[in-house]
Amino acid sequence: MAEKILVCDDDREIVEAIEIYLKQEGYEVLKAYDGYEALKIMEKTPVDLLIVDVMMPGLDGIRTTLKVRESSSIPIIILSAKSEDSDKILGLNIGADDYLTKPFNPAELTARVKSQLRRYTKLGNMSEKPDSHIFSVGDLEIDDDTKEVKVSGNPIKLTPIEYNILLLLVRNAGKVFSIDDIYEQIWNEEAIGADNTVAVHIRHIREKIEINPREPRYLKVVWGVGYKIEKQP
Amino acid sequence: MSKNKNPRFRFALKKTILAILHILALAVFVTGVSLIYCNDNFKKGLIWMNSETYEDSPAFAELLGDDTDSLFDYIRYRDVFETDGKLDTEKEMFSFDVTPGTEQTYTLDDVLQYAEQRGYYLDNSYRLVADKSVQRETSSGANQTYMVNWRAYNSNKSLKEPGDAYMTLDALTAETMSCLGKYSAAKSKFNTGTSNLFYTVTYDSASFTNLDTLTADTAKSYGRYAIFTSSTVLPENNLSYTPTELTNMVQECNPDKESGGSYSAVLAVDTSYPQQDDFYYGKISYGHQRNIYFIGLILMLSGLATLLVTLVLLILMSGHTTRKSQEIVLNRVDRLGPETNALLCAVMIILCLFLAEKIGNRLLHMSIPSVYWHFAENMLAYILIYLCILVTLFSLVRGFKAGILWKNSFLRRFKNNTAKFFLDISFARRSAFYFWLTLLFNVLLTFLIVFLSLKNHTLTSRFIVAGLILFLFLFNAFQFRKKFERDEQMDDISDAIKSMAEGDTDINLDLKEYSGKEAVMAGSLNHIGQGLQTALNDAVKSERMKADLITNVSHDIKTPLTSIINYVDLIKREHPSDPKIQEYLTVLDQKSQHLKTLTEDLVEASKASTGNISIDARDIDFVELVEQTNGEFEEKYADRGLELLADLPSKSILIHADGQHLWRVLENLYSNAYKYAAGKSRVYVNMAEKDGSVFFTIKNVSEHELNISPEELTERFVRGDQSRTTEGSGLGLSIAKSLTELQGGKFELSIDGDLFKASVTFPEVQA
Repeated sequence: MAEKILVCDDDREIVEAIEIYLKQEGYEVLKAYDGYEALKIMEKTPVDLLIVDVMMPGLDGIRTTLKVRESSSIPIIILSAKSEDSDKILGLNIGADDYLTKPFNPAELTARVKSQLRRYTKLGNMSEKPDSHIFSVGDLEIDDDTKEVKVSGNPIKLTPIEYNILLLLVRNAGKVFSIDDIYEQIWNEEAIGADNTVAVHIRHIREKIEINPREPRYLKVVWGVGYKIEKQP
Repeated sequence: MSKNKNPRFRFALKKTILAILHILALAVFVTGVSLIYCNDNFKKGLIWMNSETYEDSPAFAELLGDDTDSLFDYIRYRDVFETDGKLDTEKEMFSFDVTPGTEQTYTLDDVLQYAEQRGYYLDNSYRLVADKSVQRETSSGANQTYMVNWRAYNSNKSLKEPGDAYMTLDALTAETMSCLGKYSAAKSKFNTGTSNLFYTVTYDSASFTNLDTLTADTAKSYGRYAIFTSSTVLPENNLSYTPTELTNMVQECNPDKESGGSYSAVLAVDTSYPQQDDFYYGKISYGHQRNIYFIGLILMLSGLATLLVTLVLLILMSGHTTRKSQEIVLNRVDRLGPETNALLCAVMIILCLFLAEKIGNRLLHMSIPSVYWHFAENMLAYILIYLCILVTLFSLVRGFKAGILWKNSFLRRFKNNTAKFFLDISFARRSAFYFWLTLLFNVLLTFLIVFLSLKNHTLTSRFIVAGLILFLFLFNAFQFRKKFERDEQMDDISDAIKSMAEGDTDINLDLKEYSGKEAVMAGSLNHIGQGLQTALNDAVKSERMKADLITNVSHDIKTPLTSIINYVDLIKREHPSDPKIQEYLTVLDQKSQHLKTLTEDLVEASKASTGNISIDARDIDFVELVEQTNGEFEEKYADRGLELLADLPSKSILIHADGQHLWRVLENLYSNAYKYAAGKSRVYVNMAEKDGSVFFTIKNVSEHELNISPEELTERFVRGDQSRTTEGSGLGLSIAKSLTELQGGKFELSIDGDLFKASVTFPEVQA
């Protein structure tokens, strides 16, 4: 049975575009054009995920999220034109699970929807494997035995160096490694200053495993310090 | 109008009544003062009023004293002039030598004859009078002096001095006649049946009395008595004060005093006053005067009280037209100012005194006895002066109430003109003026001091010199203080200007602390400060508004842009077969993406330039950051055939900055090089440290001609190529500059021909 996704935005064209994308991915889409309508629909039919705009007439996205959170723990993705850090922090703090800014990349939206749904519906199934050779952070999964890397279940092809760097970071999730650290660990040589090699590799990994490499979820750049994999993306 | 007129009329009437009352009170007061002043008992203080009865009063004591003096004259002279109670003209009066050895004795009869001949006689009250018609000095022998051997009436006194012993016959006669007069006056005065004073004086060889029954015992039945005996020191008496001097008189008149004879004297006054003598009239007069004095006192006090009350009321009412009116009605004189009023008052007083002297005094002389002329003249002058001052006082009171007293005064005008004079002249001229004034004053005073101390050596002049020196010192101290205060004010102003120059526009000098030109200056400075503050606030506000506007507009743009991007994407997904449509779609896709960056950059640029952005600064490794950035861009550069040549230090260099923002700075610089560097050229990245600072530079050769200044390049929406056909918002360098400066760094651009160079400098953090 297809998951039901409620899309709520006062801009009908955007809602319809999202509908097309999500239907192509096999989801059932319900449409609402303001907060009240969204709440009414949710009273009648249980939905699995909510995509909501912030700036809407009537009940806005923030208040809608608050209302929904009173009774439900379904994933909520805020989709807004407001791109300030403060707006994102506010949205995530009041109970949204993800925040996407307009204009958005349709592929990124569908990827995030998938990610949220999987986490919501299949929560707890992943880490049950007792095998210590499998490492996972969020939707990122590395099997050290088969040298396989999967993101949201899709296999990713990495070069051996990229694989080793990623494995190093995933095994020490949360810890920041500087370029020199990584170089010494992976190449087993002492780092002799200016070399872009590590940075270039990191960029390649990011392009392969991230939905949006400019706003990475897993492999984060700590500018002026180094790189790390988030423990809880 | 009729409503208004009534209270005004009533108020005017009230004022008139009060004024009349005031004048009446003045009259009453003057009358009271006059009654007291003209009373016989004036100058005795108020104590005399205190005496309950006449017998205790000073007047009674005085009269009793006079009478006893007279009485003892009688006692002294009775035996000189009397034989067996009768006047004996055969009694010998004095003896003198006509020529040495030739003695001549004059009897009373001889004396009386000679006196008649020389024009001496006794008047009704037994006083010696010399007839002025008799030419004594010119007659022969008038100045002939004789040696006096003895005088019956002056037996006690020995003639010690030679001068005493030589007298003219006239002088001897006058002396005798005078004694005879005193004797006769006393004899007639204390005759039984005409006097209320009774006496009994008993010596061993003589006794005097006008009442045989009067003894020490019976005396006490009279109202007042005094008893002297040789056995007591103080007389027994019931008088208000003890007449101790009487004891001496009693002793002196004792004919047996050489042999130490005893004496007793009894004096008594019948206070029922059966006889109409001096005591009788004294008592009547005493009561009368006491009443008048009392009335005078009451009149004076009540007059004074009324004067004060009406004066206060009139002062309160003066100038008002009704009881509740706040408005003050002024006449022309009131507006003249206090100094003119005082002058007018003085003129008025002089005029009044002149008129009083010419007319008033004459009138007084006609109606008042001459004894009181002086008093009356003074009184008139005082009254006139009082009235003149009163009129001026009311004028001043009205002026004060209307608040024009100080305003119209010459003193104020002088002060203002002086202040204005100093306001108008320059600081230099003011300094010069004060200097010359002080110098002139010092020189003059020094000359005066030297002159006085050389010329005079009296104590007074010493004091004056000391005073002048002190004054000179104080004057200079005062001048210094003034100068010091002005300089202090200037210092404050200077400090304020300095802090304003350093950027603190919130200047608010308290003008009360400044004076003269300094106050004007401080005021102007406050004005400038306010202007700057307002301008600054306006600028900040307008920048904020601009930023808000840009943010809101960009939100509004983003929503339709989302649809455009999404639907372009949807069309792409339909995989249209026509290559033309494919081509068009690519353009649409690129341009919509460009539009997206543009709006995002726009918001960022406006935020960065207004500082409306949060900085999370930490110690970060600048070298690592550049390496990371190189990693991000190397492949991208390779696409355009650009070669990235980095020369970085091998060790890490720490700076204090926000990594995310600094990445954005470098990203923009690298993107800039990517967009505008000539194809297949090299981009040089360099980092060096010097004097505690880290310099990052990126250099590239521009593809197009750079015909604009570096300053213009960091302006928003300025790009190296004016055509704006290439991608890029024209905001990159502006954002980079703003962000660098927000983090405390320096951002510089330089152009040398086609060589474009950007440098970012941060202070190095010493680990």
